Amino acid sequence: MEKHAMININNLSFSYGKLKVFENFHLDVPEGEVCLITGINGVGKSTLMRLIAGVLRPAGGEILFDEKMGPDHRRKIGFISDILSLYESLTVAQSIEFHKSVYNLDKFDDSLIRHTKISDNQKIKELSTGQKTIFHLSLILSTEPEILLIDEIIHSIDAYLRRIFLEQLIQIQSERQLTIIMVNLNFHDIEHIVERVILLKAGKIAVDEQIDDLKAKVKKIISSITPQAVPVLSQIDFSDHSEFYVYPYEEKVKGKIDGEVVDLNLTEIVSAFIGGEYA
Amino acid sequence: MLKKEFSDAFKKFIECMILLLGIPLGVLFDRFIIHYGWRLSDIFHYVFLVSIIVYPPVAGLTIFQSEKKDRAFEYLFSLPLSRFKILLYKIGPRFFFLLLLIIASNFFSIFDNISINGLNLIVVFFISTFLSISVNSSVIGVVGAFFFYAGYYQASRIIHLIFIGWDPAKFNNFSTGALLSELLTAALFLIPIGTAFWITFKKFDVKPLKWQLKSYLYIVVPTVLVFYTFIILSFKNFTELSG
Repeated sequence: MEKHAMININNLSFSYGKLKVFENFHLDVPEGEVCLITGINGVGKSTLMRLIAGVLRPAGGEILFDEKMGPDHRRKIGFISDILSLYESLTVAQSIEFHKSVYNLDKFDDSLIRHTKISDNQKIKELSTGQKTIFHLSLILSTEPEILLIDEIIHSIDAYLRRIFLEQLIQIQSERQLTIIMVNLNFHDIEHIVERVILLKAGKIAVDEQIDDLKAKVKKIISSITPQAVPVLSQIDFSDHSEFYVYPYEEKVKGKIDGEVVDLNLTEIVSAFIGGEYA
Repeated sequence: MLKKEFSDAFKKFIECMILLLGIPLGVLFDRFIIHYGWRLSDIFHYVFLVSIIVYPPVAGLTIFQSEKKDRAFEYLFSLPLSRFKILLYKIGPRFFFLLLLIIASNFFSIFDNISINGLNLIVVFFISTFLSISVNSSVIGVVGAFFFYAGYYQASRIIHLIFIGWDPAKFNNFSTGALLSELLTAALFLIPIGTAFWITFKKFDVKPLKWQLKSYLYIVVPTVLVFYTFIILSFKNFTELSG
């Protein structure tokens, strides 16, 4: 059964002054999907997250949310941006109180921050980037969001806390069908939770694939001659051979390729696409 | 959120009231250095006046200070709060402390000839609040607020003069006519500026400021131009009448 769209973006247009970032942009994100948005720097990944979160206003088009989000969808969206926007002059305890009062929460879920060395009396500005990230994520998870938007920030958390956070995220996602959109440039940690990969190019979706399909379609061919049977995304030349990243690869062309076909992980796949952008 | 805004407004209030520390310093300065024989009430009079005049522009212009300084607009706008509610929470506590000051000045006027026009303070506060979102520099903000207030002040006097038939002999700052002129001028001045502020704030997001100030360009600039043109033309008329 096909899942209904939790986020439905129609004809979205947005620009910074004369610089058009999106024009007639469309995207549907089904409920419970974990989606990765990637692309070269400046392509509009963070802008798209901010538009979904409502901190940027579209110039045209609409961003619709599922009815279960209620009249004020922002109550059900958890957004953590790449700039870690919080009131720096407040203490941890004051920030928690502030957040609880805005969301009318009775309790604060401290399961994430109790693993850290954050104390209630510390000011937000005194926390490290990783601590701020974990704290902000804790604030967001306390509100039990339906949609979680995480913008390129997970890498700032140390390996131990990152593992704890991702474990918690997987647990919440499986329990509550949380819809997650991530923007990331470091894919190693999140590879096992991502279901769909979207690559943005010049304000449009260049690639939109389920991760398993993508892994089947993007391959590395080690050869001394350029493969003719499949389109080459990018290539790296060595003295005696070249590595060709190809997409879309099909099993039926395997016999026509003179070289070794190698499977790729998500980091390598995204690098291949981004490498193609810069080529 | 109201708690945070009360705390922020209280901090600004205390910052401005720190000027009152000038009172004992003034006494000590007079007693040990210059020996002018200043009375405590004289020093209190001027220092209190200054502290009262400083608060409205400071409170108004810094209404979004924590968001600008901490880049917390993104956090604020991601919260499930309507723009109207945000504004109410921002303005309410600051206006409360302004009213406290006005009440205090009226109280002290029983013992001293402190004469504070509460309406003017309220106008300065709202001018500053309405300008706060459009300027990032505090110097430009203060100069702008002063420039706008000067326009309002002169225009209200001219409107009062029009009401009394351009007769300087009937001019009285404390008359009902003067109050009505001030109220009318305040409405004529603050409504367009407030409208520009609200239109901007309603759609305000984390884009750079320069792309969000069209309303100021199309509403505030013409309003100020009309006011200053009115002042210049009326002063010419006034000079001719009195000359």
